[in-house]
Amino acid sequence: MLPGQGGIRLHAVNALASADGLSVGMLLADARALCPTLAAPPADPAGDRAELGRLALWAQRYTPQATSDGADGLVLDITGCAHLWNGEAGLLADLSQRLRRAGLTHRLALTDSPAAAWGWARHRPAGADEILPSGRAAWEALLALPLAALRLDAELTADLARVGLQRVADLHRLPRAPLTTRYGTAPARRLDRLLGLGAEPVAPQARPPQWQARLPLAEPIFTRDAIDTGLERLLRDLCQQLEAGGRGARRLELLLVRSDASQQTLALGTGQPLRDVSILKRLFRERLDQAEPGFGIEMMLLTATVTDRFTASQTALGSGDAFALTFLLDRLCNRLGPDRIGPPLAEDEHQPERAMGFASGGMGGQNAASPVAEISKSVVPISTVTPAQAGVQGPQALCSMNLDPGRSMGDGGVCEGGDERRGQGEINNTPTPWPKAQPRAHTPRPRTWQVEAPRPLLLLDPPEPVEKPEAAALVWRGRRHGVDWMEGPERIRPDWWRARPGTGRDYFRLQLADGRRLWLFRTAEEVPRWFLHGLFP
Amino acid sequence: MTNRADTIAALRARLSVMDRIRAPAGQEALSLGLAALDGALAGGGLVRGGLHEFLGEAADAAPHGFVASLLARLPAAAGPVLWCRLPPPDAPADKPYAPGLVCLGADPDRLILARPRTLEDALWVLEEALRCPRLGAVVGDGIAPPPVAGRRLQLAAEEGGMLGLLILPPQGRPPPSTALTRWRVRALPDRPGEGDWGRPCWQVDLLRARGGGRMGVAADSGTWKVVWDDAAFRLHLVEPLADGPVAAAE
Repeated sequence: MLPGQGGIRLHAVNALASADGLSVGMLLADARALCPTLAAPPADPAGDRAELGRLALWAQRYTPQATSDGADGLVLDITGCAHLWNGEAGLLADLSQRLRRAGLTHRLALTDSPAAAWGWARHRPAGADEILPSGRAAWEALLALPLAALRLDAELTADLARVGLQRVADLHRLPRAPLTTRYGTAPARRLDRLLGLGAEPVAPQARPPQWQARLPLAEPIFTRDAIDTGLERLLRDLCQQLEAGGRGARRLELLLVRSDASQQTLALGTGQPLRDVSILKRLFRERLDQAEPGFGIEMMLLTATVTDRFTASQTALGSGDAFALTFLLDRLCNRLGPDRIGPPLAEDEHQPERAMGFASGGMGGQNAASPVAEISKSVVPISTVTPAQAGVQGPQALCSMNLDPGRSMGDGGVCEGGDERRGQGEINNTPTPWPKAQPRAHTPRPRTWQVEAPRPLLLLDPPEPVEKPEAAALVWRGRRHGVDWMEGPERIRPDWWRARPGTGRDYFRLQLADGRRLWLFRTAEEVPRWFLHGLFP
Repeated sequence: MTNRADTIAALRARLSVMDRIRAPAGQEALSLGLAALDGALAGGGLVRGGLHEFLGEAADAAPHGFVASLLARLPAAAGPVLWCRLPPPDAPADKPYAPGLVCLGADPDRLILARPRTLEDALWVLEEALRCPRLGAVVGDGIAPPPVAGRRLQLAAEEGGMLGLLILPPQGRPPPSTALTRWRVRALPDRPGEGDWGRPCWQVDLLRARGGGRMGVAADSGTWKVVWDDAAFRLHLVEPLADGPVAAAE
């Protein structure tokens, strides 16, 4: 939903919603009246655009000439590519299957020009084939399309409809000169493009720069020395690229391709952007211990999957020890794992085990998801691809996809009802999944380690169940200990949003006869259980 | 003659610095906070550039407490402290608890916790950390280095000029080591007085120290009873009152 004229209006609907009679542009209040269980998250047009751009990049697996088209479509120029997929039908089948698997409702069309593909995908009659063959039949099919297939703006289409022009053929019949005088050049130009008479080049979606260095090897290598040498060459190459781009690597992946075609990936992260060969080499030293050459490594590929802006000069890094701590932490992080090292964090929590958080060691992006993974998560419906008319452009085939949520259920039958589509602020009768929990961002805030009562120095995690202490003895870890004194209780309740009956705890400090001091608690249940939670110094 | 005696004295002083018995000129050993304890050490405290070992009993946080009270004495400019905790394999997992450190005057914000999974990883972490000159101190908690690894750690600490504090896991007979000093810290019972409850109270034994004593007290060993004063945030010496309860401080 999006704010629109007169209130909040639906921005997109999914199949189930349209089956209930909802449509794009409807007021949310009206929609709710029709369908009380409606789930309507806010639309995110910018997010949709970015998602569509990623999808276009993914679609470049079919052809290098793939780009996003409008707000809800992709256009692929598959000239010369179809034979790789056993023909046009094979390509469409593969594309459709993958999109469906990713949960995207889509309509495909394959025609001879981009404009025709756009129109055919969105406005072809029910039951028509996705592929529009060249020749006379295609010409007639396109002329039979409604005027909306011309992709004129809505106002102009309405104006034309008002003078009785309903179909493309109606417009095609009119003399050009008066038409242009009255309505501008757009109708004639769009008509030419639809019929394949005017050129409409497709510019491929620009890929974000990739920081990558590859080293194919003439002979497979096995030894650590050889791998080290290869890595150094890769690093030198990559660092030059990074320097030219003013970037520093935060996360690196080294792909080793063995001669039996199996692969191994070694990844590492850095605490700050880096592009110094010797430092990165040192960071990789630990990782390379895990390299398994197997039958020999045939190719090494080094990619900086996450980079950051880096403009400072790096002369200081080699000398001096100003950065020694950062590099130490990087090395520790890379060997132990980011969840195993970091400073303790003060948390505003009552429960003792929650009062101390743990910051992970400042590693670079852990969650760099590949574009394809992103796609499979989001759900954008696609509809369209259209065939075309033989045209001026010679033997060219175009394939366009329309990601129009509003119409996804139409005739082509590509979409599956159900739970696809969230991406574009749609309506969904099925429960929308909650947004994925974001890793909790620890913003710097005034940290306070408030200690109101004595706290143990070692905290058992999880607490260790113990027997109920008797008046003068505690049975603990299989032995009976004399109890010197016991003090308490100190009641600690969980924070109110976690509180359930029986979650409060009564803490006791207890000194054994030998001087050891323990921190025990008793749960506030009907039958209290006792736990050891910490050791005092 | 005097000239020769001077030369020998100067050479001895240089040797003792090279042996890490005394801190080099311009650098101070880390005081233990009690003149009696400092006096038992030739360097007047814990000398940087070496390992210091602390033994304790099973399931007793007394050595941790003693080490934490030492960390509280590190100057703020010394840099953060890396605390590397290897949980005991046969006991429930535990971790250093920051609020407990606060109780002993140490600043958790200067702490970096490392939790390696294996002894091998833990030794590697310690060695890397001991070589890093930007840390204030390195604490190896629950880590008993085998002899060769212990020697490696000692060399790493010498190279980095780092203060290495090892809290050894409880073991029957601690192995010989190349550490500069070795202590045993045990919890002592303390009676809660009026309006307060027991204070941390330990028996600290100096088992060995390279270079021996300085003031003639306890050539290379000694036993003290100390108590943590959480009002003044410092240790006090307890007069040895037979086995009676701790009554008075210093």
